[in-house]
Amino acid sequence: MATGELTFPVVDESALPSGFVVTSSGRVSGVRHPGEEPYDDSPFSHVDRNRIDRTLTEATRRTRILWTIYIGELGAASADRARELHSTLPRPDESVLIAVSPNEKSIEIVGGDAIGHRYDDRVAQLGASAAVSSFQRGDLIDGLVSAVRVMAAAVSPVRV
Amino acid sequence: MTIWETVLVYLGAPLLITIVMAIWGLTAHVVKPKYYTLGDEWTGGTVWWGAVDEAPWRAHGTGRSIEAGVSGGAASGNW
Repeated sequence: MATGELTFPVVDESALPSGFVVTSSGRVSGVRHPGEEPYDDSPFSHVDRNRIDRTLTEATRRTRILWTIYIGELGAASADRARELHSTLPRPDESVLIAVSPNEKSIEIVGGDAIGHRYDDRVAQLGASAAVSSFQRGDLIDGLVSAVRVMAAAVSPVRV
Repeated sequence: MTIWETVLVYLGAPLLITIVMAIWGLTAHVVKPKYYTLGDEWTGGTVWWGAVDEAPWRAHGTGRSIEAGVSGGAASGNW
């Protein structure tokens, strides 16, 4: 795959609703009538998703740490589950995983070993505190954004 | 054309069209997507976010080796 090339998951065209088509690049393009159920099935608005995307991109560029966010079930042993999820990342040693379970009201942050000299427990704790204070106010996206920002600011600048 | 006919054609007709379209637009039933707010039950399954395309440094051979005795930071929290 060339740099800048866009790839999209393979979509079964016959399963798409009326008014939708798979374009030559593989992207799905569609229209809907006013009053119909929206096709966008993401639980977050595009404004929220853009905000997360910008935050992760900026933080990753600035710190050379792969910041990753997971939202979903963590179970009773949430810390172990978060470590397990962290180990499934493409480059776990250079990644920080922020795992949030909205149903269990818990957050787990796990950092990779290769960045341990910069990203220690103190920084992780800063991120968890920032996230929890926003979560208590009922704002999930705001909490995630501030957690990534505060941790990215707290890790020392990269030594080139 | 009298002045009244001119007014009727150039002002009345566009106004009528605007009013009809405004009524149609304002009374149409619009379905808004249901977005998640914290406190509701999470039914969104699993969501992963990352900036994997922003990681070019390995390509330049500057990948850092793991230092002995150093492990990554971790934290937990509840709200």
